[in-house]
Amino acid sequence: MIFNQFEDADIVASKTSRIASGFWPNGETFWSQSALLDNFYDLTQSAVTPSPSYGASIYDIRRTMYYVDVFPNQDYKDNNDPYFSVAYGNFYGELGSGSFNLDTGSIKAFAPKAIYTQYKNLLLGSADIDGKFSFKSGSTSNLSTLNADDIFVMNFSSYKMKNKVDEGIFEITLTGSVGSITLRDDSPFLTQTSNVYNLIPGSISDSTSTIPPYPGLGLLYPNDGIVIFNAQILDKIVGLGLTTAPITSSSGPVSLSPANYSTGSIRGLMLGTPLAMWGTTVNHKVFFWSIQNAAGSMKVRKSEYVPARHYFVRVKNRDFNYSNNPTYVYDGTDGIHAKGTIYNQDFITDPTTYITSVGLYNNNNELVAIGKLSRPALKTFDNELLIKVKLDF
Amino acid sequence: MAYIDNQTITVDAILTGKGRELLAQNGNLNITSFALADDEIDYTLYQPNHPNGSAFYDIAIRNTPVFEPVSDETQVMKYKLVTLNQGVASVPVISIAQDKISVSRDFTGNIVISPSTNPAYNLTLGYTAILGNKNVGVLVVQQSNSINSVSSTIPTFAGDVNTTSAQVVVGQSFLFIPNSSLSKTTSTTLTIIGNESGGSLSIEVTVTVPTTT
Repeated sequence: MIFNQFEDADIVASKTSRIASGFWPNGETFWSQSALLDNFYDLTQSAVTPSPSYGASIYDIRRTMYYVDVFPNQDYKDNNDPYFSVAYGNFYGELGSGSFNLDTGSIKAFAPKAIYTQYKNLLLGSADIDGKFSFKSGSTSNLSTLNADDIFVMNFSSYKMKNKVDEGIFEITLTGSVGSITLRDDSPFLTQTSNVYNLIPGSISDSTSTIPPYPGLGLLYPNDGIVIFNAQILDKIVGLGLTTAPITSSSGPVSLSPANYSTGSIRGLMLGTPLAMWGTTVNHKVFFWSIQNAAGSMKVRKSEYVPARHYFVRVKNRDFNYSNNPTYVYDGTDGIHAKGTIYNQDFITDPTTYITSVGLYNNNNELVAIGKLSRPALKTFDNELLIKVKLDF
Repeated sequence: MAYIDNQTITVDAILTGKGRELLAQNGNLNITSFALADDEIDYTLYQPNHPNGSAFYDIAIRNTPVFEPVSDETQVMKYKLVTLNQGVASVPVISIAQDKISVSRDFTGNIVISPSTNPAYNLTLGYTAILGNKNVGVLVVQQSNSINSVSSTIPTFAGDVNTTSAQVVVGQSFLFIPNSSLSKTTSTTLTIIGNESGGSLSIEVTVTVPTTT
């Protein structure tokens, strides 16, 4: 026979394997933030009207009003293969809302409110009465909570991050006119796992065992692949405020005065500069500027959970010692040996085969999975083999 | 004291195209059996006269590089290993009475294809017959067996059976009936595969169309 039946005990549902690797191209964990590119201008250059967020008609609303995609480098940008997106949200989102000021016109799309609400719905439970993102602030001995009306969002591509962004292996540096800050999540200092971690100052390479005071700045949701930043606090720390003079799209925000917001403002933040090209403010573009212009590497690792099943292929001593390989036998054309006669005399006295492939079949003898050995495995009447075939789903 | 050789070989398998299709349709693979193959091996490289002795007889075979698995189920597991009683001098060979079939499209008799295996094999599961181009005629099962599945995976070679135009039947013996409406002389291959032994046989089938003057 060419088929052997599995017994029940030969098939074992294995535990799900966690496969962790770097988030960035080629499995890299570190990626220079200065290499990152967004497609904000590419998507808007073709607009007939001088608007980054709508086209020929004000009803032709473009997604740049809500978010922009970020790419590791030009190649990925050319292939429209984003790794994450950035967005700005405002809890109240009344007209204007601090982001792109179309809402003061006739569109009234309320993009920042839509962004805040969708992340609130996704990440905050019903137990969160006020419906606002809350961030830990202060030292562990004097901890308080800050609510945020204004948020920046970093949303990793689910296709790229697989099942989750790994807590403990996340680091980002943000910059502005006041300074820079490098952030990591606080999971290494906690004793329990959680669905959300607060961001703290520091690098993942730090060896300190003392948790620094919480800046009230960010939340990492590993399973969702989302990072929420408290926009007002970020503006205070690094400076993302207005400039005095029109600047080019590449120069970014340079703050003159303290942050241009008022706590609890229903209008939201007026962050950043009026983008020179359009004279409008796009907060998620400003946030991307803060990422791209920081002198640091963004460190992200992802994990994938792969369910597997093991098949124990037991090759007993009496089984599979002959082959249908055409080189195993004579083809009958030499006029001496009959077709099918075993070519090598040694294989008549001591039948021998060399296994290179294992095929798994269903009851219709359909080949549904194939495994290959790394090198040929000897099989004779004198030996038995146990081949453990792992099939990932 | 050396370590004991661990005889467990661990292999990562991949789903074939058929496996993915079935998984999408049914949600499970229902794997019930396995087969082994040695597609990459050239047994003529076995050197019983190797000057360094018996440990080196199969050195060329043992060091043969092995291909990665491919997901096309028809391109792997082409030469399956088979279980036979110890001491046989030959592997089962499939034969039929014809070494080729050449028949007019107007032929109205029966062309019986009755495979046999020597030494005796394939008695229970019979044979799978594949007519490469079903435009030339039709295969009819003359004697069926307990296995009537025609969906089993059939290994193919480049330029070999075209599965979209092929006819596949399973049984102990078959009839070939030429296509009486064929418009031009056409040739194809008839392949017989032993469902137990794994061996195969191919012959040429030609259906001729009389020339008109």
